[in-house]
Amino acid sequence: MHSTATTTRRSRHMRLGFAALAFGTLLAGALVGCSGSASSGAGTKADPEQLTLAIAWTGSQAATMPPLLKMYNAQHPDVHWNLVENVTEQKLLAEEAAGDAPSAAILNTTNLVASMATTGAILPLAPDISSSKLDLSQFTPASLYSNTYLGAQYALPFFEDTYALYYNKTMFAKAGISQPPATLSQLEADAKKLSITGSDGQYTQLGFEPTLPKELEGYLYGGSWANSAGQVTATSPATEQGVQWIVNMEKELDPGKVQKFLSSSSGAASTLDPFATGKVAMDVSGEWFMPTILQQSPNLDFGVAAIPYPDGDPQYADTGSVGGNPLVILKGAKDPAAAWNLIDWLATTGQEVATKTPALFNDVYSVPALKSLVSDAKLAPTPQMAFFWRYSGGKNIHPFPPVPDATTYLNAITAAVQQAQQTSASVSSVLQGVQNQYAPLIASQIKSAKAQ
Amino acid sequence: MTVAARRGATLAGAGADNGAGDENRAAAAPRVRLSLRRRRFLWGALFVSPWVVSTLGLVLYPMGLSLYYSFTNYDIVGASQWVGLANYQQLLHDPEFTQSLENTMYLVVVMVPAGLLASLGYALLLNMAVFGQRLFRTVLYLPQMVPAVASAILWIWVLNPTYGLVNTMLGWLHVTGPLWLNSITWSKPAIVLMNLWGVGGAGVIFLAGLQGISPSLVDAARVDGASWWQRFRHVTVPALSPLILFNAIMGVLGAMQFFTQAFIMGGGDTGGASIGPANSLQFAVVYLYEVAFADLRVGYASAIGWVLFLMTLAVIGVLLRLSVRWVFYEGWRQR
Repeated sequence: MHSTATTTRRSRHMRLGFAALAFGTLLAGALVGCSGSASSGAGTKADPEQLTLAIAWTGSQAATMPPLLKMYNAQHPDVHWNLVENVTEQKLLAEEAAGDAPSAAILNTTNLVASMATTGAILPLAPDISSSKLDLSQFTPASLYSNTYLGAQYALPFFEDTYALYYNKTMFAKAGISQPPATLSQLEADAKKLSITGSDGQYTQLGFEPTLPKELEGYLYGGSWANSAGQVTATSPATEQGVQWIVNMEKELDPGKVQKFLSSSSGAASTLDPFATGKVAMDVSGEWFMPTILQQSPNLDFGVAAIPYPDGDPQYADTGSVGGNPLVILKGAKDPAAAWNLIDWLATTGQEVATKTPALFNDVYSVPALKSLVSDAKLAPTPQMAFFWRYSGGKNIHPFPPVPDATTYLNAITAAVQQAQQTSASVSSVLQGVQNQYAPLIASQIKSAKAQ
Repeated sequence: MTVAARRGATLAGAGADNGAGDENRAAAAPRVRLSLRRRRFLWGALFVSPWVVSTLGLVLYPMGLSLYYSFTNYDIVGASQWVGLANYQQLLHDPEFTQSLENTMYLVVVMVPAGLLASLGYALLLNMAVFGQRLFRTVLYLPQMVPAVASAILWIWVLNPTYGLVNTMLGWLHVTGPLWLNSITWSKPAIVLMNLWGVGGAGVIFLAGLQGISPSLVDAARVDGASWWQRFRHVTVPALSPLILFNAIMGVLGAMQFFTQAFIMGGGDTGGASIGPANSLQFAVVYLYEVAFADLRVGYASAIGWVLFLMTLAVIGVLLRLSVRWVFYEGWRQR
């Protein structure tokens, strides 16, 4: 009897508790609903559409974006773009697969544009370009080409990296060299003259670091790694000639000694770069290298020059490579039209604003992709940066070809060149190996993409 | 409620409320009586269910899915397309895959035995009753506590050809150290050397085994005139043989999946950099990662994963098959 009464009381209390909870929930919901309707009813406009821009950048580079987005949001009250940093391409794909992709993104490399286009991860831009009448000729040719796939535009360029020859003016003067080398043979002669060996037979100073970034050795004699149809051209005579040059250069300087010197003074072994600290006289690198120099050796007297061309072949002068940060619209974008408006604005107005605003440019510190900007030397913060800008617009500047599987193709090329540099393997045999592997693979990827 | 009545309570009642309310409900509705065996089974199933669910959902389901994808062209974003055995056929003609397998097998053949020998040596030394024994044990086990990424970065410095600790010590012996991670020839031995630093885990297992060997066996051998080597060869090694097999299998598993240190020490990224000079540190799983997440060829990467899985099974199968000849289990009776 006692237990029955207790149970009855308990259940009554529970029912009362649930009723109170339900009432409270209803009341809270009603209040929230009222406040929402009151604000929308009394407000002058609907809430802006919330969209997401994902960027791979972090740190100071990423700091460029919030002010730009703030400006864009202010000019476009119907949308509000939110920024998410440090979203690598792998994260983007995972989000796409989960059906939760951001609407637009800035990728970290152009090497993935073709692969993402092949798989349909990014949307083709041709319809938007056509409807908005965007003038593509305002972009530098190499930056534009790097964002295509089989002739179709899949991304818009947004700040690039360009590579040229850095040289140490003080070391040149000490060695009695008045000008940076214009031809490859002059570069070889200067490199030997500027290399100093210590008592132990090892280099204490290196005239030239015999590695070229972005596989640009392939372009030195007018070669390429793939043609515009996406066919692999690793064994073309001109490409092979360029690779042979860099292999010969390393072998002349002795690969063992070069590797020992570089391993002791660069990369993970040292936070100080050997060019910045005056141990290497010439180095091919990008414009992004300049802040490192200014930070590590503010007083280093250095210049930037064109990458030397083969003797007797001035048509290959001003050769170089470019990479960049593609603006893309992702498959599954919440509002593709709004995403297009944003990337169109960022590629043109946004890029111009960021370039012309010193505070923003100091964060991004790279090469704009608009011809009007790169040709305006007054805008550049330093003469060296002005050189990079001008250089990036040249006809002999190449991106790594926009082909599927570009990343592993690049990996195979790098490994092949190192193989030829450090072992007795011939350049033709290592390049033939790359050609045999990647020509059919990339061809089959393109074929199946076309069939879809 | 009596104990007998409680035993007869429903599972739901037993789990939720054993109070007076149960009695009322039991009086009102016919109660389903479960046998003790059935109840034990249900409780057991309840307790084991987290493991079953996670194994099915996080292991077997992804494995089945990757097996399916290995017969398709799949790029994460789009739908998969059935291609039959094409991915496996392509693997047969993929020189980079062949190279990555060769690199991996180097670890199996060189790194695993070297690690076993080193860890056994550690254990023998740490089993000696010397001053500071506990300190030595702690110090030798410490590398196990260092995260893989941190140890990789540390060893980039240790192996630096000019300023690194290893070459500096070789220099004291008037030996010019190699280029280690900067050399096609020496990059893999560098990885083996680094691995020797971290064999404390296996060493602790051997140490536990050594301490489990009955002193009477060793004493008997000593009384019989057995030398140190004979006691080690005929008493210690057979007693430790199950642990040697265990550590060998764990070593093979680790070698076949070697990734983190190689990727970091080899300078890997998804931008196309060579992993070690001329891809000398591109092990099979590193290649799998590049193919899957840089080229988005997930179907092909799945095929690589399955070939690797089957090869791992084969290597472990050989180890187990051969173990019949040399592994001694105390208390195990051969039929």
